Amino acid sequence: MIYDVVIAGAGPAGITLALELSRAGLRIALLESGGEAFDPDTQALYDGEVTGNDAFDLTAIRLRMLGGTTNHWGGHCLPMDEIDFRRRPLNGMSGWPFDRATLLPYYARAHDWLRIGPFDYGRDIGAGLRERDFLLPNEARLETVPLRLARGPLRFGDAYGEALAGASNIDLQLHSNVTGLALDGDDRMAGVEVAGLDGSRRRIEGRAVVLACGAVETARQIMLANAAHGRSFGDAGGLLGGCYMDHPTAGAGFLHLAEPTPVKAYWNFGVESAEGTPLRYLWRLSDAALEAEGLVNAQFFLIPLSDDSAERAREREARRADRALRSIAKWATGRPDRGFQLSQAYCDFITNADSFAAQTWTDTVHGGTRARRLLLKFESEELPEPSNRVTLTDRRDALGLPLPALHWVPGATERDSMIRSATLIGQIAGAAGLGRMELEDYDRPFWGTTTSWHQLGTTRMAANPREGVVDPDCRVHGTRNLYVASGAVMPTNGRANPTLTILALTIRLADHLKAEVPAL
Amino acid sequence: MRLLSRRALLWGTVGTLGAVTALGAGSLVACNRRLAEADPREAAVRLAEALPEVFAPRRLAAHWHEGGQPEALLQALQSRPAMRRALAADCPASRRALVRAEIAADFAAGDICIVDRLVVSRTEALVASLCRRYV
Ligand SMILES: Cc1cc2nc3c(=O)[nH]c(=O)nc-3n(C[C@H](O)[C@H](O)[C@H](O)COP(=O)(O)OP(=O)(O)OC[C@H]3O[C@@H](n4cnc5c(N)ncnc54)[C@H](O)[C@@H]3O)c2cc1C
Repeated sequence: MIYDVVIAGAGPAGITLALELSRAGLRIALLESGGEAFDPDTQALYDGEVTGNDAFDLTAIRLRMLGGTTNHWGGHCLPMDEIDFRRRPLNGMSGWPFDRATLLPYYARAHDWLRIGPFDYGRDIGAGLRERDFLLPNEARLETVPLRLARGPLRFGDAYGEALAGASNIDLQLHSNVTGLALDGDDRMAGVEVAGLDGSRRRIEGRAVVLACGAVETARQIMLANAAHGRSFGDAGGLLGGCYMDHPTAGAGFLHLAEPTPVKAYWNFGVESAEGTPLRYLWRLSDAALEAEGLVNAQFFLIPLSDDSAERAREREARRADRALRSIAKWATGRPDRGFQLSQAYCDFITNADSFAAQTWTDTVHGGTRARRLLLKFESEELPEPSNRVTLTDRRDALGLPLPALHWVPGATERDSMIRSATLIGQIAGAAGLGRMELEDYDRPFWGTTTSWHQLGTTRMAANPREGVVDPDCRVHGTRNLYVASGAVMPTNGRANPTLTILALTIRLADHLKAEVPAL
Repeated sequence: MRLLSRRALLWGTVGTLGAVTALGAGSLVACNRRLAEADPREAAVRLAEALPEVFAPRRLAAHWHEGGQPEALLQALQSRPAMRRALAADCPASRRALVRAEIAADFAAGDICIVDRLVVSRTEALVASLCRRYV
């Protein structure tokens, strides 16, 4: 049988694409390497090397099972900013081939899949918040902005498993590892080669093939196909696998507050929008400030620190009890957390019940512990550098395929931007009498950064095949029917956690395929 | 009979205004002279009462060495309008308020320095540095 669309990978991108396409009546093969549950042997297929800032592991940063990496993501959702689309990256690489307005309708539809309410990111969406819940009024250079939390955090496998099973035109095939692309003529894919860890092998054919396996695996699959067929699909500019981006993260500095400060929206985890989506508030420099100062984009989380160690310990214990109580409540209502054990949760609650009670008293009677110091934690845009890249090694996985290596070094421009941004925030805080900023130590290796767990940019989008790997329709340059649905296509990554943008791009691709596939 | 002619009223007003202006300007000059001649030690003692407005003054003083000698520090402080008034003010509370205002004005104008990773106003660095020499 020849499917209309063969999708490799059933993470949020693959699942959303399949369900969107199925509404248009197309026949879909959705091939997923893993099963419904975590399996160490399948996960081991995600092995690989990391060099440079090797603070993470390729088997921890992604999950190989139905629902993909959303099985342990944080659920933070927000769109990219206008400036991210408007300006070229500061290192002169190409930027987005379209503006933010092009993505807006898709962002709104992505909200539905993520179940995060209406597409509204005004500061005032927090129900019941008043001006005094913020540290500063919005001013020309510094803005308070919300992000929305996909409650749960939403696991796409659990959330959409039934919809996938119920769609008669979606053929979800679990334990099916895509191991190669089958070529039909010069520039056309006939389908994909599939292998199971049990030794089974087969070919799945389709009129269009979409790689939705995350940034490292997607680039690896195209590299493997190029090597197997002696082609250079998407690689005319030598950028296949290059321009890998994360959001380097670390402490930007400590804001020593002029006054002990009660709970504010930024660290009040109970704030929700009117329709009940949990919210988090953060700071960012405005587009105008970024432009005037020539800075990369970034977002700053404000984390209160108490200088009293006993107070800190009590808060920690109270949080532990609170978590235990919540997981017991979820179990009691038939939605147990993965790996939930009643005895463990009960024991955790009882052990920390005294701190829980004391903290609840402080919160209700005194409006919460007063913060004297805030840690500003940044998540920075990363410039697309060709040298940050995925390559293939001589080591092989259990299916006999070369394992990837990832080289990742956050750059000096981003570091200097974070120093300047934190200084500017210090200046604004000083002028407002809010307190004084103490910058973090930026002289540490890789300026103290680690991963935000976001893997992007290895098959970057550009209209010109020499500047990117896929075209503005997410089709791999040089092919007629090979597409990518992943953060891999992002030419720049702004500050925003990427999944909402990944889904917006995926839905845009779905609309393109609905129109295009009949002609392929 | 008119007690006050229009001309007399006019000249009277001009005269009064002139006298007030001359008095004000004169006292300013006198004040400036007094401050210009002021002793850095005396200035430091006066400003010490406003040190609570300065963030981590010991740390600033220990790490900020760009201000030069005490005379230069004092001169730099005197070149700032609110600081000139602060140095002249007899009331400690107004002195503190003026130092606070100058610090906020520095931040607003971007006149800041980074001292041992602290983002502070230049006035803070100057005050901390001057006070450390004598207080
Ligand atoms: C700890 C953590 C926290 C995160 N928090 C956030 C957050 O708060 N907000 C946010 O926006 N993002 C967050 N992310 C990132 C987010 O999880 C990803 O952006 C998102 O999952 C990407 O979706 P995807 O479908 O492109 O890839 P994935 O979710 O990685 O899915 C890829 C799928 O492809 C399958 N696959 C791989 N190779 C093959 C193959 N050869 N054949 C068949 N199938 C294959 C995999 O099994 C998997 O199911 C976080 C990530 C981590 C690790």
